[in-house]
Amino acid sequence: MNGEEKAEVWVVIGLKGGEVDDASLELLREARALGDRRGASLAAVALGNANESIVPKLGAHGAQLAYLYDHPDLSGLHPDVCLPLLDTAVRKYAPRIILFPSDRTMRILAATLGARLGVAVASEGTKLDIDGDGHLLVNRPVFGGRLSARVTCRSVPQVATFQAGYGKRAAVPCETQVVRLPVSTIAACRSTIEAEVRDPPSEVDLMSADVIVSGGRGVGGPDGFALLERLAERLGGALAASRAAVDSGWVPAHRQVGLSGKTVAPQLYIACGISGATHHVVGMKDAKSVIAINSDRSAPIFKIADVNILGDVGEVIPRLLDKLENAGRQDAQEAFAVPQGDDS
Amino acid sequence: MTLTIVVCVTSVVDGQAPVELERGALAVDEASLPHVLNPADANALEAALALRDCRVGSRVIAVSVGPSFQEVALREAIAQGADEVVRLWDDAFAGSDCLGTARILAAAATKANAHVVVCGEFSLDGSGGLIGAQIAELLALPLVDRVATVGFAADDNDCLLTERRVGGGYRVVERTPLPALITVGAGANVPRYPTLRSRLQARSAPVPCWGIAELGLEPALVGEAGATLEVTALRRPPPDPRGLVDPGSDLPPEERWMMAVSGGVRERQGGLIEGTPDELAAEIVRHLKQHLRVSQSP
Repeated sequence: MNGEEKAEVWVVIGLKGGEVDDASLELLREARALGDRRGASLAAVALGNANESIVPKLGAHGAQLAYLYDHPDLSGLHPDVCLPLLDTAVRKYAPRIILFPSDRTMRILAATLGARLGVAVASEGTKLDIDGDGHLLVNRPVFGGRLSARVTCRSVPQVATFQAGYGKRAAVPCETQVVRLPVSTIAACRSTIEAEVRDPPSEVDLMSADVIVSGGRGVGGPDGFALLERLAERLGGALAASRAAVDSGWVPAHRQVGLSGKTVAPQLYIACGISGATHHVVGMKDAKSVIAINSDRSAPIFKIADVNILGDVGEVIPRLLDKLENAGRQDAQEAFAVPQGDDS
Repeated sequence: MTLTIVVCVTSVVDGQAPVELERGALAVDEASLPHVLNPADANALEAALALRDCRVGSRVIAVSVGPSFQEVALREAIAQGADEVVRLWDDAFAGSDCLGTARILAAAATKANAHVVVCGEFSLDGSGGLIGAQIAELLALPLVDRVATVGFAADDNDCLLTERRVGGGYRVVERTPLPALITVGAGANVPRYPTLRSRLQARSAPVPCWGIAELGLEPALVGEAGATLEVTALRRPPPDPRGLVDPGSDLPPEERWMMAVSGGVRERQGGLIEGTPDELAAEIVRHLKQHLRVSQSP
């Protein structure tokens, strides 16, 4: 092993759908800035389906080195499986700082790695800095966010997790040297998954749903909502409604989105026959992507949607369902279903 | 086999209470503030009690690390139905970081011969979300996190069957051999309501305390001596600046108010797509493919 294969700062990155997730890229940029202040190099550590295709992106966000553990069994990031590998790598390459994005699986990986190495973890960081002695400084919320504490890490190595959305650094692109690490033995996971169950769309928790199919007065009645429910089921999502539909008695009140209902922020919100009255819009405006289907070209919903479909819900939805169902059950599930939506 | 279930609970400063911070102080004078049981710990207790009730003769022991104000959480645990409570404190524990706290709790679970350890996923004050996973690692227990329901496997009484909501309406059912550690998120279940009788019992119940000697801990691994994280500054966080989008002057006042209060509504760029229903459906399919492939893992 030559010296160039080592890096003082590590970022363990998350992969979603074969790509590096945004929170990890954000953290790479932060970590690169930290490393540059110390003249230390930065390594990205990827576990899961970590093949060379992700390397250009790592380089674009400042990783000088990429350690790749390429094995499909690692992609769940379960500590039983991944911790032995990380532990071995840390002992072999001796990084000074190890950073994790702060989502559910990564937080567990960071916590267990810390416990195994006997070092405390500064979690949920909102700002990272480094002092003259090379100690990591982490700002983190305490007392339910009422105060912010700056903690200094005095351990070797120093482990921290960083919350997405607080990064402010610009990317410093560079060449990335790739080190493929062998995955010779895979430890068994002590818990086994017995089954994966899906709630029907009318019971899926609206707040945690990744996809919400929502209908308004333009859906026309309970029959129209039966179609929307089928669509929601096909997309692995939840069924919701605007106040107009709830007041008409087509959908129970606990499915209502809007000022007098729930405030949601799914990945995808499909608004069917919803005009886009303000009291509805304030309940769904933070959806990452919005598709609106409405037959009124002046409907206000079109102002806040990403994809504006001018058409009748009763005509478009059945054809959409046909297309999705024709894609074949297997294929459709691969392309559209949303298993294991992981949050933070 | 009867089980011993250890639940790790903590008292947190009441969310309504103003937290005073003296200039330059590195810690808040917690003893003077009102405390409540950490919300996620109430759910952890409920999961533990539900598990206990599956198996006659099992008992739930609630433990908590900290000075006397930690009795708030322990008395609440008694009121909810815990069979025993123990406060874990020693002057040598003062200044522990989260790993130190995890070591103390792990030692208590070992001393109590726990078959199952249950933790709340997050505490409202430290909010690290680490303790449960660290105890599991220290005790080499399998970890099942963010459990929604827990019970025993029908065919094997030495296995836990847990359900976790994983978002998008999915629940994963996992089987884990005992002993094991589970974490429970806030709101995962409905904690049972204490009866008047149990409340009165809780008020006068003795709360024993285990110190460093009872727990057999190495002084160098806990408290200030064992801490590698040090708080070096404490302040009020700067306000989170939020851009306010102009609500639009053509709207009636109450709608402008709604938009302003909700933080503003961002307009999005999307041209109007027209066509036959078939073409429109194809356009939606195209967007679904593009969108779900980018943001979701298959």
